[in-house]
Amino acid sequence: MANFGFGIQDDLMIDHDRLSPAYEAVLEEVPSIAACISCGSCSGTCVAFFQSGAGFRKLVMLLKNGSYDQLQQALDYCQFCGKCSLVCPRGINTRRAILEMRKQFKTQGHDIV
Amino acid sequence: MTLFEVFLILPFTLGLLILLGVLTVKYYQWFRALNPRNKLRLWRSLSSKQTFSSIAEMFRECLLHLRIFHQKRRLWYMHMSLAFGWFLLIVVGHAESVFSTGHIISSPWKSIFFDYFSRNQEAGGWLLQGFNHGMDLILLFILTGLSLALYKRINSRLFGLKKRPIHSYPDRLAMLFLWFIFPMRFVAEALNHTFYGGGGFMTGFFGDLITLPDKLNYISDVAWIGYSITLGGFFFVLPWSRYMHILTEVPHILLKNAHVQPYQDSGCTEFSIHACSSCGICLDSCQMTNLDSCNGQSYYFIRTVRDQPGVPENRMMNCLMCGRCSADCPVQVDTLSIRMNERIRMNDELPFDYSYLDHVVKKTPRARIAFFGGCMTQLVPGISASMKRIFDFYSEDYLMIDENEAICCGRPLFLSGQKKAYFEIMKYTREKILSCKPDLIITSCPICLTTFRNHYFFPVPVIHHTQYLESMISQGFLPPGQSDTKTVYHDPCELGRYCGIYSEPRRVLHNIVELQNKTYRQDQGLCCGGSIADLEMDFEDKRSIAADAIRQLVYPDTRVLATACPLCKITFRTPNIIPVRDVAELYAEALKISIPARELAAREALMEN
Amino acid sequence: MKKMDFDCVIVGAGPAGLKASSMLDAEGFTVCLLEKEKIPGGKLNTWYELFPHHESAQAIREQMLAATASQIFTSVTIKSISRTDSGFCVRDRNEDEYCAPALLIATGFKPFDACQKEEYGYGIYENFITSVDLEQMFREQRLANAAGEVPRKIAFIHCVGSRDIKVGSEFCSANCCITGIKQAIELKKKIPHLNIYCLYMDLRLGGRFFEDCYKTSQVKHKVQFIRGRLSETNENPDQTIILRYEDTLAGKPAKLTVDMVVLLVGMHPDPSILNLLPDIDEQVGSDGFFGDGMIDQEGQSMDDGLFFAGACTGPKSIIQSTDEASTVAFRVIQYLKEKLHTETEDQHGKLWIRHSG
Repeated sequence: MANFGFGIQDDLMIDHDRLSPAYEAVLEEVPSIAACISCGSCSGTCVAFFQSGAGFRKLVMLLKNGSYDQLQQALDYCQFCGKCSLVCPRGINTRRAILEMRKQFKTQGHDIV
Repeated sequence: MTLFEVFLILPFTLGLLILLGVLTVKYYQWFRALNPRNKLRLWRSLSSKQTFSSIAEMFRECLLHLRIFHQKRRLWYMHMSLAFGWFLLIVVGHAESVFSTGHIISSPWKSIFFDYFSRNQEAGGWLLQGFNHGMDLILLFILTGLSLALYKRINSRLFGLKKRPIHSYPDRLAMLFLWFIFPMRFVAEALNHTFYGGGGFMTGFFGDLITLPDKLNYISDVAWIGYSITLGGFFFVLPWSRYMHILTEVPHILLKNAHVQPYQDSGCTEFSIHACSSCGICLDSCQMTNLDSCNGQSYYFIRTVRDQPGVPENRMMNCLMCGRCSADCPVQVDTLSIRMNERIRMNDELPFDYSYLDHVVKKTPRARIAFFGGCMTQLVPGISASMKRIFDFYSEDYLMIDENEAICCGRPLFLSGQKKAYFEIMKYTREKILSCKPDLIITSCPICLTTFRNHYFFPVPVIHHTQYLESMISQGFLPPGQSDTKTVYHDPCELGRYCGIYSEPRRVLHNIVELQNKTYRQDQGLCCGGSIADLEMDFEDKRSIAADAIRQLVYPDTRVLATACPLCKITFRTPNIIPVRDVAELYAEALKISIPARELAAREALMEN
Repeated sequence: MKKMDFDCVIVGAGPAGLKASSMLDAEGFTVCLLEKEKIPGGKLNTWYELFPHHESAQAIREQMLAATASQIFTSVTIKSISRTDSGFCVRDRNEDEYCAPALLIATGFKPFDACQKEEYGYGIYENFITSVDLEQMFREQRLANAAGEVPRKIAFIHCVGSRDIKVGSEFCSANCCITGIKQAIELKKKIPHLNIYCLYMDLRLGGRFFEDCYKTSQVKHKVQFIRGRLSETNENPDQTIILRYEDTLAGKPAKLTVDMVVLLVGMHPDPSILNLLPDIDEQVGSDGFFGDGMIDQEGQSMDDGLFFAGACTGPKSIIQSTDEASTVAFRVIQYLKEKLHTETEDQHGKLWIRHSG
């Protein structure tokens, strides 16, 4: 079985073979999050992004890839202003998604499957 | 008292006693649960002239329902006939028994079952006859209202309600009892007069119409027992149904006039949610009612708070918090505060970390005016670009606080229930705004203005930019001449209902364009639908609310929709029905210092479509 | 107050209309073109050079006009279109009537009005222009910013008015990316020291030789491509523009200061024709263009004589418009032949026998 050298440095890699249960959980509450095309408008307008380096696009990416530690830290920076949902070209309900993510991590303290 | 009479009065009396007992316990508990500060407010209010106006309001609203009268006439008649009619029945009934027996204080059942107890008396003088007819008239009055209530189940639109409220099962049971009370009374009295004569123009008439052999006179007794059971049953179910409002409205009015809000006060919340009469008028005011996917309207929300310990999140977060429901509520229940309580209860413990804001707050040069555009200002650059030009025109010493880095006032956090996070952000934003040591703070965003007024406690005045522009006009600093562009002004919810600023934007517009809606009812403004307080609705829903609102606001020849809130501007331009401009942009045009001509040309082109 | 009869009336004398008319001409049908602008040619009048090979729009326009012998009526404002037993009658503002059994709608598209995206500052800050404005500047040989100086840094913003639910158009206009690259190459040819940055979400370069253009722009002309959708803009006191966005490939906030910004506006449907033919509402797709995009067209009834071609059925390049116009012209020919029982006698002689329907 080939693993293409993925076993060498686990934390440098993203393993898309692994599921992200937190992503599935948020997806159930906010189905529109699946429409993200990673365009970056949300981050570009984000009040917190230019000061803290965490915008909504990155949150979704971290959530999908299962990088929960970084996600938890990045989630705390959100000021909840709502500008991301005003500019999203796909009409994603970003604030609801962030609220869901905050609740997921407060209650579950997720581990990757 | 015969054995039968005991059975007769038992259901009624038992029901009444249980009701009074439960009520006393509950009211006592709720009163105990009031904040000490609110308790103090209540005492102060009670021992002042406020009490008289509260009593007057009780008559006006609990009995006569004047607020409904001003909104929907047929609905008013239906509710008022029941409320006022029943009140009259009790009062006049008591007067009747006083006159008849000569005792001022007598047991309640003597007047409720008066016709039974006065069976074998001779027909009294003209006064007692008058009472008979009077009571019949009142009963007729109630029965007409009742028939309207029955018809409303089939066709609520006739009463001005687009959608009928769908009640829960305990409420339906109580309603059933209530609906049977007065027909049962009518039947019992009529049958009474069939066998024993007497009666007023209605009950006596029908009583005479029915002919039954005398030996069936127990039918009349059965009817009386039926009446007693419906009364007792209603009283018994009442504390657990919506009809609690009948009695709870009284303490609710006292609290309201003492300026006690349900916000973070569980006792006041209990009084408020039980004072809600479930009339459904709020469903009509709510702009989400037209959308099938929404179930978070006031009526359903309050009922959920009343009936179960926790409110499901989608219902709680599905609200624009625009205030239209509270404005139209005949009981003036402060739903917004109750909803905030629930949101805070659910979301206040969520984590946050705003330490990165430390290096956002830097020293800035002094300025007389601090202009805060709000986080959304960069999405509607026309507003701050216009305000800049206006300030330059008037040679003001100003600083645009958030020109380089947008910083949030924190109200969106607050509205979602994350109160602790809100107060944390507030520290940074407040410091940043005060860093230029201003004498005056002007903001173009009503959302920020609301939160500045509520919690920020700035040492200097905070005003909205329309108020600044209005002061410029009243000091004579606007050159004369006005364009004839037909414009409709939209009251933003946060500026209107929350801050009470209605006339200044209109006065500004009146002087610079042809304003088409000069007259207005305060607090009747429509919400644009873009509210940050709603987390459930998707983009399509919000856009359809905005499109509906625009269609209701504009006339066929309106060229421009004017608003005074950046979020309203963003929301209204999305359906692309009509050009939307902020008051500041129109003012800059009037000063002939507006944005470049190319945009005007392009916008003219847009207006053609 | 004239009444004129034709075999086919074509609304719109752009590339699709001209191509269709030249094909119908070749088969001997009488055709007229109704054009609302003063000159025919449609959007060919606004372009300078066409992708992918930088051909002159003017030359193509001349060619297309020369290929058709149909009557072209310009400055026509259509007041109403009515159906008759024999087909359609189009009435204009001067009460002239153009009647025919077949009606071909080739009204084209409308460029997105960039004022709708207020956060991009078009119309608020001086140095914002659209791709349409830039073509105009090319034609007038006037490449300067609002202050009249030659720019040193220009940014192209992709996807303005396309793929954006907030302006009501979720479709991709398919031709703006290549337009941007073409314009970038043209600019670099004219101003070699110019720095050009393209801010994009995705690069949609599906046509033939489009990818070559892309590579040429990168290698030969050193155009820089940054993946990040523009979020906010602001203006410096010297009227240069600051752009604020996220560089999504780096995952970091980014800023860029430029002298001018070119907004690549999308191709939007032009709804004005709908007011004249309200009963064709059901032929409008969910994106506002005519037609449903299905491959299987068997179910479509072509009995009623109404046809659509060109950019009014979806965002298209000039080649795609003319190709579609050819196909639709063939269908019109079939329709007319059936309806008029026309027979060709001889291809060289071109004698026609006509019975009226």
